[in-house]
Amino acid sequence: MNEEILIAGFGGQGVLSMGKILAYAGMMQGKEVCWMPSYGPEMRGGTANVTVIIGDKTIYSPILQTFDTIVILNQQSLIKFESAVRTGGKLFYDSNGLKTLPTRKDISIYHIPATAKSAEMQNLKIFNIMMLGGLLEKLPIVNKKFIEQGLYKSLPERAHNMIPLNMEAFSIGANIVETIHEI
Amino acid sequence: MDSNIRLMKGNEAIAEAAIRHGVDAYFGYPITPQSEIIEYLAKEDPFTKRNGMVVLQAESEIAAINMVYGAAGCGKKAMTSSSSPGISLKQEGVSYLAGAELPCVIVNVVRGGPGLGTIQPSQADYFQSVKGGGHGDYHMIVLAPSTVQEQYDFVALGFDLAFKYRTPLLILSDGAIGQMMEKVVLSEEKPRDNTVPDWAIVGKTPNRERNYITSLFLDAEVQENQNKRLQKKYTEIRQNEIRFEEFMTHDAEYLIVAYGISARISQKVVETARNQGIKLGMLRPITLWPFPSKRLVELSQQLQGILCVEMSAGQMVEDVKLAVECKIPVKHYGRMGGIIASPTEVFENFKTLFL
Amino acid sequence: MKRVLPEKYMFSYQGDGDLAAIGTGETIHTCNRGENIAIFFINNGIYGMTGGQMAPTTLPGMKSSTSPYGRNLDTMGHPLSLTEMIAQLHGTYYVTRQSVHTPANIRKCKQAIKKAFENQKLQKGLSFVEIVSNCNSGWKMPPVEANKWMEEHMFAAYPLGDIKLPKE
Ligand SMILES: Cc1ncc(C[n+]2csc(CCOP(=O)(O)OP(=O)(O)O)c2C)c(N)n1
Repeated sequence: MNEEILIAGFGGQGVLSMGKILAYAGMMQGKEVCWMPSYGPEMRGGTANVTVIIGDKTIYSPILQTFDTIVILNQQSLIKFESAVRTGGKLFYDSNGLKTLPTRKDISIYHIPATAKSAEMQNLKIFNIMMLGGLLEKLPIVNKKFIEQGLYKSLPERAHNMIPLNMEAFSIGANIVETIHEI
Repeated sequence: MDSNIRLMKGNEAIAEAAIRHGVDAYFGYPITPQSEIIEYLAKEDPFTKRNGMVVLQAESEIAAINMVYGAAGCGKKAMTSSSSPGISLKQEGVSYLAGAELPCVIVNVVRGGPGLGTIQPSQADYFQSVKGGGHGDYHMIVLAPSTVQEQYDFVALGFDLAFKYRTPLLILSDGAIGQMMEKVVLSEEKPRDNTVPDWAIVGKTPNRERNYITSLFLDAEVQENQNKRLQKKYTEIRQNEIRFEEFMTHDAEYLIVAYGISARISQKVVETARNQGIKLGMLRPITLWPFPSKRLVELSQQLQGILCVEMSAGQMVEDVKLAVECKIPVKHYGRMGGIIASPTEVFENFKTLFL
Repeated sequence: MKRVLPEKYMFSYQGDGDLAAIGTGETIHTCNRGENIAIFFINNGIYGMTGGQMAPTTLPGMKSSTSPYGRNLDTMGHPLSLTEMIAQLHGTYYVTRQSVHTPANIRKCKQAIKKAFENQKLQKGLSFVEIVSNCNSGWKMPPVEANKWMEEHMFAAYPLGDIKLPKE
């Protein structure tokens, strides 16, 4: 099966790079992968989203209207995409900055308080990798060791000394993810 | 993991393919959504760091295509890339390249138009690509990749065909394939090939007549002979180089015809339809010119209808209608202006149009 | 536009990527014909809109996304100063180079822009105002640092001041 994932949030939240690390990790694990960004002027500050497809089958459309899993990082994305999770699918969110919370009963919903936790650790840059940790805890489509390899591949060399910290954040993410509702 | 397997953007795949295939020169001018091609080449700096490939940012698209004309005239493997407005500017040069029978590869990462348009993906440059965007009786071979792997592979294939037939060749991509990342299996890097084709101009050469490269034939009879030569070549290309891919067509009662990113979307539509017991298949032209008309005619015997899915107001659909001579219903569905129809949307429209 | 609506004020607002690259030919000939318009040329040394590629005005050694190791004069050519070039043409009436990085410079630039339109009103021909500018996102610098870099480097290559003044 292929897992069709959407990550949606603000431009500056590292949405695209979170998708990229996931895609790299999937590829390292020998899977088929596709990373499709929304590109254009909206990337400068406005909303940004990326579709990541990972699986064992040939990937057909990188353009989708509904998804198996959606990661929501801001209010606009919640409004726009809550309904796009397929019945039986999964929705992950960080409640920071959300005025309302997801309400659907036919999907599993998980909360990852990554903004709060990374602020507590005084490093907001690790927010997205923490989200990824939470996501993969509940959706184990790629192995953690490939995330680490993916980081080596996707980060420029000068940032490689940050990888241990990122992996710590990844583990923290896996620990702080809360199940709100599971089906 | 094998270092020849990479996760790459479609645009980057084209650039890396150019270096690995031993292309001699790239001339370009930045324009979204394909600037990663020249940026990647600038970063790799193959001229000093790899195999000596020339990379030059020209002052305009017109300058770039004329640099291609010059390098191609010297028998070198030259390429350029742009997106729709820039490709329009190149059309005079393309016509000259076709007239002078010079091989080269041109990449169009299409965005929405007309005019300056949008930077979002589109397929509205089909007519320009396959009907001859410049003046005069000519064709370019047009390859339409639908995966990042094909973005990579078609550079080598493109140069092989361009040199085999001494013709400009177009890789017709779009903003979506250019910007998305997929797994690419890279070929080994080839050294650049210094053999000089016998038609190239390289300065005075002993023991042979001087070569002359031109698209100017003032004498009408000479021009007509040149036209006949070109047409003969086009007939040969039509006979030998049609490429396409079929997906679940063996028992299909309905067929989607789509290329590029629309073919990817349509594969998903076919899968959805099959899950619901609808016998839908897909034909994906890989060469848009020459067009796989013959195969469409064969398939049409078993079909009740054809849906063309294109991100345009309906351009390729005309070639499909011509191919099947409107003997079965041929419809079009597509969004314009940079909007990409989702598989769900295409499937709903397929049902309304045919079921 | 000016030829068909001569009673209207006309100006163009152009970047270096436009006026000094793809539009060089048109710019030179517009100036040479002495069209009675104003050209405002924003020189930030880079293609901003498309994400920071090298422009003809990019300085030697300056990094951009298509000159990631710095502009190499041997392979990428020299910075092009179109302003000095068009000042030589008979068709230009007033040519000046300004900036807007301090309140004093803004005042001066405003005067220059005003003069360009006054010239047009008096049917004097072409006025050309270059405004040397920064591009903090393209240069990958914080705004304050970008201004400082501009003062130190851009003004050295593109000195501020009047280049061609009307002969009285
Ligand atoms: C024919 C054509 N080629 C390329 C482009 C892409 N493009 C848009 S703006 C631009 C250059 C931007 O640089 P500049 O004129 O210096 O303005 P800036 O964005 O820096 O203000 C380019 C190359 C285009 N729009 N049309």
